Amino acid sequence: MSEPQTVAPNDHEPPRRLHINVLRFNPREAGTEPRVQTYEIEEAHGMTLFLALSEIREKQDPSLQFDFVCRAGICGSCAMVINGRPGLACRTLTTQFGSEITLAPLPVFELIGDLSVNTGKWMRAMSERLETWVHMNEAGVDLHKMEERMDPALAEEVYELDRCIECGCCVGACGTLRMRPGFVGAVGLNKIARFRLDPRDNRSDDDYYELVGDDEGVFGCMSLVGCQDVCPKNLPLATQIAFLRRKMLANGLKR
Amino acid sequence: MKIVYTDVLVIGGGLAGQRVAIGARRRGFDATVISLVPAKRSHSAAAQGGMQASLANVLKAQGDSEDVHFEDTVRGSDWGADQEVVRMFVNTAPKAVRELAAWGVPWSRVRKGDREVIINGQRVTLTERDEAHGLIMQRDFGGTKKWRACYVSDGTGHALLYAMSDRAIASGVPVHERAEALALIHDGGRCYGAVVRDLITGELMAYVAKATAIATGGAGRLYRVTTNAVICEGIGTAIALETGVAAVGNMEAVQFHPTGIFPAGILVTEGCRGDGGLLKDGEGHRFMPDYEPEKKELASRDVVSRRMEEHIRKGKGAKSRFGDHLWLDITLLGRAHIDRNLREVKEICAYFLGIDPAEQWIAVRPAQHYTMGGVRTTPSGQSPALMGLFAAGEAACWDMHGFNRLGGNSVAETVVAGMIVGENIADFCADPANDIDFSTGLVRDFVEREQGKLDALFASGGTEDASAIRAEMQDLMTDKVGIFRTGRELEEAVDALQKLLVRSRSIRVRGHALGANPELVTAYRVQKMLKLALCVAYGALVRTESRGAHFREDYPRRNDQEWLKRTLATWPDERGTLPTLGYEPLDVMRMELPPGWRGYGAKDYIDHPDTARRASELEALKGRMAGADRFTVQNALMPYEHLLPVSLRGHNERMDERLT
Amino acid sequence: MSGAGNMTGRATVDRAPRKSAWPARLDLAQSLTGLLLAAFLAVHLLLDSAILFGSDAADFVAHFFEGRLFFGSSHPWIVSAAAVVILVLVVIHAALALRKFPHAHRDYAEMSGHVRALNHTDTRLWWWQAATGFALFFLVAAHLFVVITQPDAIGADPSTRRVVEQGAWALYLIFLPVVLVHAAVGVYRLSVKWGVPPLVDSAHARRRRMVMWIVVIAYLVLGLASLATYLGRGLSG
Repeated sequence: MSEPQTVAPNDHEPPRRLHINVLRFNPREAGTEPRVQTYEIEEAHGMTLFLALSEIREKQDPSLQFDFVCRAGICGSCAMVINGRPGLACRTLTTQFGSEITLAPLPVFELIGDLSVNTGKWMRAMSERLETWVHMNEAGVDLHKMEERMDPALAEEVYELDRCIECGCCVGACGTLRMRPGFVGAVGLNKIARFRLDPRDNRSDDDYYELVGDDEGVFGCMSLVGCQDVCPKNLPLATQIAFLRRKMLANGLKR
Repeated sequence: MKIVYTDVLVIGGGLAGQRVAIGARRRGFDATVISLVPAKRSHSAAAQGGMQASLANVLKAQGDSEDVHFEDTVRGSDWGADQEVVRMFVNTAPKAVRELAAWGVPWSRVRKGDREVIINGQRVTLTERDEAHGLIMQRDFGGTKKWRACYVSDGTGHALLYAMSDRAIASGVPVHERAEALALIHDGGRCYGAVVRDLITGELMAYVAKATAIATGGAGRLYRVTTNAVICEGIGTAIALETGVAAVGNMEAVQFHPTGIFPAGILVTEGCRGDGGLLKDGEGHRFMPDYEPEKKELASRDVVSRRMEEHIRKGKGAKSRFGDHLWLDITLLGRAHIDRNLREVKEICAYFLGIDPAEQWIAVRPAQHYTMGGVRTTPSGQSPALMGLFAAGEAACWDMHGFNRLGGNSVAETVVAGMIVGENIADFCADPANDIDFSTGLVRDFVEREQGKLDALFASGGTEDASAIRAEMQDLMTDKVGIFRTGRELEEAVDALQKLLVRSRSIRVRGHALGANPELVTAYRVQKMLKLALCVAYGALVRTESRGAHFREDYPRRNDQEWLKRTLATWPDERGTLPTLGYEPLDVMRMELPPGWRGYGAKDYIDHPDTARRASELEALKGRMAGADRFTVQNALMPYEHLLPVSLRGHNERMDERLT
Repeated sequence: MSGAGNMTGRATVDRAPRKSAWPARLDLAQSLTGLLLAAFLAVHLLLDSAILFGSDAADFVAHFFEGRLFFGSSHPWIVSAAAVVILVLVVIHAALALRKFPHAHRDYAEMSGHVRALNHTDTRLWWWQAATGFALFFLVAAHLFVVITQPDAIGADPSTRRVVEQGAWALYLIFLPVVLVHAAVGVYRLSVKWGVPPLVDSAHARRRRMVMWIVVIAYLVLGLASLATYLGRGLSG
């Protein structure tokens, strides 16, 4: 390319007034009911929901609860339901919607208040349940020696699945989880697929079957593909679950 | 009053904090981590490009070693670093990378044979050795002689943090999420834990511990434009400062990253330039070679950021409605490379700038990025002033970065410091001399004092608004305590910050919502942040020289004669409005690498009187030891291994340097 | 703390007795019975359309299934027996599928709220599939009751009588789209569920659903045409 471009289109249009409807509820306030509160703000150039909500909290309503950390689409803190769809609020530009934007907390997770939900607690429980860590040999490693080799393509494949940020969007978009709260969800099944691929983890399919070989695991998935369609990292979740299902079926039929 | 007892309390759940906890846990001690957010959401996840460790696997890393890494780091620090600590660090970094490899980090790996890379704007073919196939890959980063940054695509921090957090879970380390330490419990000589606020219920609790480690990362949010996450407010550092006993070191040393996307300040990795990306000005001209013919885009971050701002001041920037900026051009790397190795960058460009970086240039301008300063510790990681208080990672001033940190050294430091401090903290707990003999009355006093402060924010007769004060502070810091500093502006900043601190004592919290109450959170945090901001601005005002990232236009030269020393700030008077500054000299006569030219940036500096003497002493020593292996020579120049935990001593194997 | 492991991350608690193979078997059985039923339906509807080629063609098909080609005479019990096999498959399939249905009002409310809020095609399709599945309990029962009890009532003329005079056309008019949607969405879901072929991305899924709808419409047209032919025969004859 030869000509540098500028970042600022539509310099001359007057800014829009946005109506941001937030589903509000503080479970710690006894006797209150969930309600929708509407905030009106002026749209700024390049405004994300992070910027919009921060402005609302700073200028209009300091009690509004929400979670942002990296504000760059990396940490997964700010997943919420945006006009019906789970997504990362920090990297959602307001320009992609009409002037009405409706925000609600992710379902399934324990509500902390307003748009803030306890994804951390859910994810930790999932990790403990599925043992989402490399199960190594007892001997451990000698840190003075050179590292074990790994096929470069395999390392990339593992990283592809390792990119999950545990934001909870897939959980919020999962019909199975809505009806079966014990279901491990796409996030959990993707973890199993990731460790199964990793040659450093010495677990076998027998072990994985113990973790996900039932209707709260891989056989519970109803394949609604909501997970894959909302995943902010574009992980091939449905593909991975299908693959895992075949492997677990093969293992189950041998039992 | 709820009291939680544990052997080791770790404040902060990022890479450093969790590694400390794992270290203590594997030695049989209870370690409890408290974290503002779920551990996997810590800001460590945002590190993109790489982790420096001299593995020397790729062709362009051949000949790399601890020695080269050491020299690069010390030069990068502009001789502000503690050289013993740098030695400890460079020797442990390869072990850290290899430990993480065993824990499941999917490091990018070397492919044998030909590959095309971009070096200095030119397409070059490198032929990787067959015997390197499958080993961990390195890429080029700024300020280094060799390619040394080990990486996982450009999601290095994410992959590391997940492996670390999963290992913490496997080890049974409890992480109390959404919990914030408001004050350290201490008696002026010994730390006993912290007063902690539950950010879900709003309840105050006491955590009582034999050893307390602060690993809360940096304080980027003192600035308006920063790459840091919104939780990087330096509260952990501030509560150490608020003890009035523990010191914070070198807070004026603030790093600005050359490539924050403009205007949001979100980071795009140094890996962009390491992999061959170029900086261009408003006319599309590649300007860095004009300023830095040796290292060009890959000089250290302080130098590149300064050159960029200098170029913008000359009117050479690209214009936009938000002001001037420059361009980062990675189009020459090609789409395949970007899709594989710079995918986070691609996502960030798509979502926040609406561009495809394989086709278009990225608008960038330097943004606050890293806090070299922090809680002052000895090489063991313990505060020299407050027994039982440890610090690790960005929150600490250990001090391996001095006045400028090299890219990729921070991720490495978090894990390395976590390994070292984890062992040391376990040793500390194992020693019966360190058993605590605390009074529940003391704990109650601290909890009640903190509760009283919170209550006062509601009952205050004042009218000040916490968000407004914070915004004013951030503007002041960005405008007057930024890349280019002058005595006049710093005086203005110190003056204005003091006024803000006084005003912050009249903040009134209006909302009485139960639970975390975000308004209350902003209120008590801004009071702490202002104290840190004053340490930065006041330290910068008093330091009348330029060193690393601290650049005084009125004192543009590095002055080793007067300023080869570390700033130590304490805050003895709670109602005061300025820190007390003290200085800790760096001893040239003990340095392995005496001060000199860094190899980039200004060549003009004032020598320390000892420099020449030490240099000739070292020359003589080296001469006498001709023929000895590099480890023996190094040990003669500056012994450091005794400072490392026993399990972390010893050499690192490389392809070209096998262990016997 | 939970039963966390030691430093190598190896679980220290001895695992409970090995997990049962039944979830795997049942999951496969649900998919297989569904696939068999869908295949049966596809063939069934094609054969039904023989009437489009005239009453001889329809009679030929009927006689073929009554075994006249093999035994030289009609044995309607063969039809009954086949129907019983299908009935068994349906019962198994329905029983297995019921596991996935909302179990309580809470489940139903959660799911229907989810379907409405999410505005997501695959989720909505599943809801339809569940609804059509529920309807099929009754429709299939009615249809198979007739086939099993009147196995000789196939062929051009008996079928015409049934469709027109006994009013079965109304049943078929509802039955046909319901069973088609259920079967087509089911087969589509099977391909996604087992990843045959693997679902790469959302665009891929969209293309696959397009194929599914084309098949549904083709069969609907075929079925309606056959039905119209019977109706035409009945009304004119």
